[in-house]
Amino acid sequence: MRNVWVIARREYSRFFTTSVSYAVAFAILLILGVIFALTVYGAYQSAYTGGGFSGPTPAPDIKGIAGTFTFMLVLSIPALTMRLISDENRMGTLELLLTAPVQDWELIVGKWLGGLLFLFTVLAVTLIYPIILNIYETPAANIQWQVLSLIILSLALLAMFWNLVIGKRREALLILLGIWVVAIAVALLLYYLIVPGIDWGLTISSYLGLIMISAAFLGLGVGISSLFSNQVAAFFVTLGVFILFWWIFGFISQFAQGSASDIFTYLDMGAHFNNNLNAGTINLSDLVYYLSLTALGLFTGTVAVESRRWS
Amino acid sequence: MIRVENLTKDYGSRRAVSNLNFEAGQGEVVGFLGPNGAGKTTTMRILTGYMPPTDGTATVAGYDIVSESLEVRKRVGYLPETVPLYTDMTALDYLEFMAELRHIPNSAKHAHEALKMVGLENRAESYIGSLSKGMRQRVGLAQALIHQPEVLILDEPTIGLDPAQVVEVRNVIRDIGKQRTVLLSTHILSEAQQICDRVLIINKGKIVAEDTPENLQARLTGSERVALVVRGETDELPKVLSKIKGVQRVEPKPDGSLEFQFAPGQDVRPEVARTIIKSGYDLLEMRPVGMSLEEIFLELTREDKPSRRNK
Repeated sequence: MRNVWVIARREYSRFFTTSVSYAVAFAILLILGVIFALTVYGAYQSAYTGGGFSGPTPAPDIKGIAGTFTFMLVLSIPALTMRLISDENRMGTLELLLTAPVQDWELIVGKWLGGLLFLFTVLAVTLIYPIILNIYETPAANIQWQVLSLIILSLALLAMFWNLVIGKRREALLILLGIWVVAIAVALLLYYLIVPGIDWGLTISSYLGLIMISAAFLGLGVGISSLFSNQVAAFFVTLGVFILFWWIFGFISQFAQGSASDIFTYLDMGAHFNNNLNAGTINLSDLVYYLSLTALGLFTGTVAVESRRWS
Repeated sequence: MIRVENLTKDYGSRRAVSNLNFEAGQGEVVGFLGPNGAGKTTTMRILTGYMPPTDGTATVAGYDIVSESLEVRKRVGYLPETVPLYTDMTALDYLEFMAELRHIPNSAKHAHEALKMVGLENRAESYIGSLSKGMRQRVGLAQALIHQPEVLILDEPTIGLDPAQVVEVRNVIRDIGKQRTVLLSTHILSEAQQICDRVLIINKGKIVAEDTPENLQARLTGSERVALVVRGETDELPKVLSKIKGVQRVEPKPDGSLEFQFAPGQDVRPEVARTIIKSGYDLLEMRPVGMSLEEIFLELTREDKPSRRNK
């Protein structure tokens, strides 16, 4: 188990030395930022224009952001996972890892966990959106709490930056962790003490969904990457599989009859998110679905690495 | 220590290693010599647990390489042919990572020590990508030494090093070889002569000769050779010398010298010298010529030339 953590930590820090991960983070955050601004602007418009004040309007929530995020995940995770194993294969470092006392599954799970930690970092940055939405929907009297949470978020970003510039990764991670514990405590405080704010239940459910989807996509991506020694090939096969799970299965389920339709609905990755998790419902069956996809990907990866030993 | 019994490896229909048998004990440096594609790297990869043999068994440090692969890998230091390095890490980070994978407590200290052993302590913070080929080779060697393994397996350890570094690395290997087991492959025959206690000459997956470098020489020549340098015209000299009892195969060499052979124990040199002087020639030089390892090597690997098309 310790090897998993050693490999994950190395992989995580490696994401900050390659430009691909910055490009992915940039694309995700840029598009989310634009979508977020439009959401807020749209809500503002419908509340105050078009025939004067028309009473309470549906508040903007996190759903739109989360939905966009999943779309970005489909497109960007293949770019993050394509090199994870295939690059080790190409550079010859796989020989190094496989002749070190590391089990095959530890290598695969470590790589996956490193990717997941990177996506957690990106997800953490997006927490600024619910916090801003909360400001938008909370009476101005409580503004100091919001300012506090923004300060905390900035500190977290600073810690990440420290991680990059100074390279004190262990310390930076600890600080990041500490800041987030405080941030969650403050968020809970806001939830219980300040009325009304946004629906934090829905936010937690959506974020849980995003974490689940990230885990499943990364698992599949690592598994596919281990089958190839060419990054580009790994990228396109991964993208194809993601599109299959995210759109095609759902599309088929609309035309299929009877139990076939049920099967395809169950396989549809988007349905589990859009109908349940991103609507504020946490079902065990949805979590099991995502976790089993993750396990499938990690198992494929382990078998692929093991199979090098068979030939 | 290493014990190999009937080791065989097939790649599809091609037999890379066939029925290999050898042993390497503690405190012994064993050289693996052979042309490209002879099966050196394959054998090393099998011994380090990177791939399993098709047939046969081997034990390394007392553990079976297939059923106790993890135990073997803990006790082996391995430098593959293509030095596996992460170019985006610093030398120190890389070694710390490897030390952590091997669960060495105080990994930073050990990483520093390993760098010192290969003379790179002043480049600890340099990115591996910015190091020269020779330096990278030494980082790779440091990686193989970091956990003070019982068995060291080195695939072409001195390739790409400048002469001064070659001497240093050879000294490091010889030092280690005093207490531990070292198996190294090389193209450079003089290197094998210098650092190996025993040499295995391997060709087409088979051991064609196995002995100390000195014994190999004696065994293959079966006679002693002497070179002569004589001033002036020497056209008639071979005829004159051939008449002496015990002198065999007098050959003029392109550089003007002469070479002859005699059976061990029948030293005819005084007789030859007297004859030359009597015949009116000026004898300038007479020295013994050993068959070089290069010649032995060519001799041994040439024998089965006709079967080369099977390859």
